[in-house]
Amino acid sequence: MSERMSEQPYINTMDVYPLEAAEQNKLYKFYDSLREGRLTTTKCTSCGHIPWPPRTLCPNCTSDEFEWIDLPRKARIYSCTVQTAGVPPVFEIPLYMAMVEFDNGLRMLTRLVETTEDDLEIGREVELAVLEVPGPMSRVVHAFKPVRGN
Amino acid sequence: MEIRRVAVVAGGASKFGARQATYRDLISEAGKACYDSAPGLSPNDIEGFLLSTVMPERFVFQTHVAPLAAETLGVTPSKLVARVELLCASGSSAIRLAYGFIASGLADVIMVAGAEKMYTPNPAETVHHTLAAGDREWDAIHGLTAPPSFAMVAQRHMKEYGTTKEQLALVSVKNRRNGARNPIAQFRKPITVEEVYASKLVAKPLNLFDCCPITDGAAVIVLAAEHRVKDFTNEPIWIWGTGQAGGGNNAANVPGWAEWPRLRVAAKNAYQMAGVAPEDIDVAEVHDCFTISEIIEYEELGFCAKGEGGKFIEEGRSDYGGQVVVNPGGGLISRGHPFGATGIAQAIEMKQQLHGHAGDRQVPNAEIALTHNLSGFATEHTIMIYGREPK
Ligand SMILES: [Zn+2]
Repeated sequence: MSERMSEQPYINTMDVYPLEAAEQNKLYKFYDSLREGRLTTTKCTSCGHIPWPPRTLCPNCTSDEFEWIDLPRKARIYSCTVQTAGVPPVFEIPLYMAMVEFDNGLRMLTRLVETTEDDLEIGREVELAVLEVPGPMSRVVHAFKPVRGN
Repeated sequence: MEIRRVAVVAGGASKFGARQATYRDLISEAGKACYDSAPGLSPNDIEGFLLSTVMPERFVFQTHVAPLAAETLGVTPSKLVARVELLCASGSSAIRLAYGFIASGLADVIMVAGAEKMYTPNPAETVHHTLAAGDREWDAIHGLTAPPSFAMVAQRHMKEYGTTKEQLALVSVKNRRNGARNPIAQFRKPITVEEVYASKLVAKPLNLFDCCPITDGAAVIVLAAEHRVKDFTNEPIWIWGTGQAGGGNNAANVPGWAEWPRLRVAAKNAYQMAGVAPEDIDVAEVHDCFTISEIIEYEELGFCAKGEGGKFIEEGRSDYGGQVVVNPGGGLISRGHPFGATGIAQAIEMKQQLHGHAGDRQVPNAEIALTHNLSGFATEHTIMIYGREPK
């Protein structure tokens, strides 16, 4: 094996996270907003449809024109689990996951952080958390955490 | 256009499990079993070739796999050659496509092979590859693979319908008992409810024995137009009906959790085409990737009322002597689940069942069979209905 090979260059197909920068991704504004602590999605400027995940083609009216809107910071757990065995290599057990639902009816799959088993309850209120993706590129990923008492 | 009648005329599978064999070894083994099942059949008879396989680029670093598999089996296609990929339901999708191709007259004889080599020397690598099945940009980033997905489905079904952990476990107990009698099955030892509870917790409420395993395996069948059937076998099974419906890939857009409306659509179309009702089905192979799946499938296939799937297994209505024997071959839980091969293996089990060759797992007097194959977040559903006699 050559010296060069043994340096283990970045292998995209072993990377769990997408490329987020403007040069690589038409939805780069999602990640830019997330870095500022805002969870956003696209809104079709033709018919007003709001999808999750954000998209560059409206499935409702086929328009490709959209604007960015903020989603609520809080949501409720629709279903949840904690994986305690067999998680993919870059993740750690216990891995908390939930489908959360916003007031507007949109649902989103997310991991839960700062969580214990006691928080795993359908209907539990959760709020946005923003995580840094480890590794060479500066990237972010959204997550949710339980809303703690007042 | 005239729709021609189509039958499965040959079928054979490799042993399923953690195999000391390559992708090509598995295909060779299944092909040999298929050819041996119909001595009148030779590679020269085969005009079309479909390979059902999901991620050979990941598991064995190989693409352009349909020609590779055809070549391995001595087949030189003259009418059709392609790969079919629909994750865990690739096999049934390939059968459905081959059916349409033959029924419409574009070919008379098509081989449908399915194969997956999933074990890699480092188990973590195999798990990493399964992440590619989810929506990479929006779901897989959270580590979402199949076990937590179906765990969340189970949580909803338990909340809405009172389904219990014991009812889940009973599905595994039944399918392990059946698989113990299937020579190709990965797991051939019956288990108890207590052993399900004692197995490792994977994703609450699913324990290890609520989940199908990682599997290496291949399976091969041949479909033929009616006028060619007698050239190959006296024991064909006839395709009476088929249905398929999809619902998307992203977890947020799944059209149901405790409900699987797209399965209802696929089943309705298949029943209608076959001219049968759920109560006419004698034997079924359904997609028990997780125990909760089989319970929801009882409901959506119309074997019982919505919400009563848990009671259905508890009362033994999916077991021998019950209303319909479900997963006599052990299902995915016991036979194993080499993604691309599963739908093909279901068809082979039905060919054996409808002609009395299923040994000590034989369902008495089985005449009408159903297979159900799903993929993704239980969004895509493919149904085949087979009869012992032409219709
Ligand atoms: Zn629109």
